[in-house]
Amino acid sequence: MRYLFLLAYRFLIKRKGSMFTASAAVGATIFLIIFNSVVLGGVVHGVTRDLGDMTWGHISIYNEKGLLERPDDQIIGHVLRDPAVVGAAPRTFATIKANHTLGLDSYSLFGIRAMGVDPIRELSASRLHDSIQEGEFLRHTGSAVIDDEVAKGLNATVGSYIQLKSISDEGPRSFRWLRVVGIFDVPGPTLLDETVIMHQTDLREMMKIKKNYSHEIIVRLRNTEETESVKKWIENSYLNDNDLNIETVDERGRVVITAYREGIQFVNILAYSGMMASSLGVITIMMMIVNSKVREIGILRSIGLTEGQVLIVFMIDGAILGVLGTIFGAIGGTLISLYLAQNPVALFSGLVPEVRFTLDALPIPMLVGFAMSVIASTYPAWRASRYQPEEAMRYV
Amino acid sequence: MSKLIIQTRELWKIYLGGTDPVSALQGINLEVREGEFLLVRGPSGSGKSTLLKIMGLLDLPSKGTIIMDGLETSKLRETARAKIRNQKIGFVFQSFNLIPELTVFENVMLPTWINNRQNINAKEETSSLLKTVGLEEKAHNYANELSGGQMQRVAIARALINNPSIVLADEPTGNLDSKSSLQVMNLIKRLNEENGQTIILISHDSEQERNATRVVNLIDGKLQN
Repeated sequence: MRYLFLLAYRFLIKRKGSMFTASAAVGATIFLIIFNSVVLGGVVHGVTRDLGDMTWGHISIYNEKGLLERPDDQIIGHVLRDPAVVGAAPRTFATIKANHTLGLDSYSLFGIRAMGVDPIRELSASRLHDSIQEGEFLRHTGSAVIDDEVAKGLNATVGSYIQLKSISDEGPRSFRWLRVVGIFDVPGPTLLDETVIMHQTDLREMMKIKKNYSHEIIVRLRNTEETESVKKWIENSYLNDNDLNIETVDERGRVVITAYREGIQFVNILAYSGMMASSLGVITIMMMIVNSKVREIGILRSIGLTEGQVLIVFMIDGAILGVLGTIFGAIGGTLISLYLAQNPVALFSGLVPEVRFTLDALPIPMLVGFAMSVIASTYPAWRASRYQPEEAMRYV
Repeated sequence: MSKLIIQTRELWKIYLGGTDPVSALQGINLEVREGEFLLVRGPSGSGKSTLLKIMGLLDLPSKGTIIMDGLETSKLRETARAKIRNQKIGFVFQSFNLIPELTVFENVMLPTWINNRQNINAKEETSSLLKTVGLEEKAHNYANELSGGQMQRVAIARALINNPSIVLADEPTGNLDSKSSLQVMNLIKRLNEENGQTIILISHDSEQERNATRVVNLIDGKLQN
């Protein structure tokens, strides 16, 4: 059997160009699959991270029917007893109309979201303050930070005064003037586009909501691995509070995260489909190798090599191409993944994928790539085995 | 009288490729005995090489049978024919037919690998054969680094490595100069005389007559005597 490897290897090594081209075709696909699974997987991690950092915390406590029935300071005080929790903050929401007058021009946005926050608690419970592009984060009542799209829509800058008017179905429709102290820009799908962040006291007064009552409490943890256990503990603490929904960021953001996951799966399917193109490359190059070795096939057959052994020789060539391709692809995929894990790059939406490279990403693409190469070499190897000795030896 | 080693009965080979069928062999009946040195002589296109390839189980006859060592070969499967080619027949071709990707040593040893004789003996036999053909110095050269005469001597060593009972040589000196031709023919002659191997030599060179124990003439696909 060893001599079949020797023949296969020598046949291949004499055609280094073809060998590297075919290996590169296999390697490119494997690289793409590893890149997709690691980097696009990083997009999902990034989206989850940003939703946790900005939108819902690692755990969200909310009432889907409206305000929480317990005072928020009571829930926050209890939650903060867990050493795994680094911060918890209340949030209140309303749908508003915003106006801004600049000289004789008036700008308005209808149906945007207002989010009332506790600026002090927010510092430890979220990273909203890190998203400020201009000005500063909210400090006190009478001020607001607005999303950059709201700023564009209202033609407002830091220092502008904007008028906010509630248009929610619930509550009275009062208005409030706030000074813009900062403009924020959140990355990717944090659902905070077209949002005005204001002091919760201002929003409660505008909406006539009782002090200490909010729509949601976000909880930030020291370590996200403890999310499930902390969630369990909160659930057990409020077993009789039927109004409370307690969800992790994965659960709260399931629609967004699932959409991303499905998108990535689709891209992965495309990448695996790309293997078809690579396999055509392998078939073509293997056919070239077989066609250049017809005479040698005839000689080998004349000294006793069987059809099956000729088939094995060229199948080994396919396997060598597969091994080389998977090594090239795995090295390329690993290097780019490690680089992106060390040097995060923001995508067009501003989302920074959280690339986490683990060796788990390698075996399946490598196995599939190797199998593809072997399968693709089946037809050329079969063709090689069909040459009859006399016919093949006449070949020049 | 020594035993029959190859016997052909009513051997026909008809090529159907062109506009008219060509009968390369027309009912060849030939018997070759063990230890014979048979020279098959004839002009170009007379069917000599076709006869040799069919007798060497490289090609199938259109009609007729070949009995080798008492075994009717036309009913054998390709795997069994390959085994006979490997163990019982040694080929020497005009164009040497070495594998350029292998070294001289590997080329000679290749039939032993196919024959599953991957042992020290096989290596020793290879070295010994290379010494016999005067190429032990070139053992680790690649085949395409040799001269024509050297390549043919490697081909002879390869043909002998499995100690076949029959050596089929198709114009072995056709591509060689006179000095190399003489060396190669002396080598083939020695095989016949010293090892008792059956030699079937194809040639249109009447000079080879003096080496042969029997001569047959093939003209237009028919044996003349």
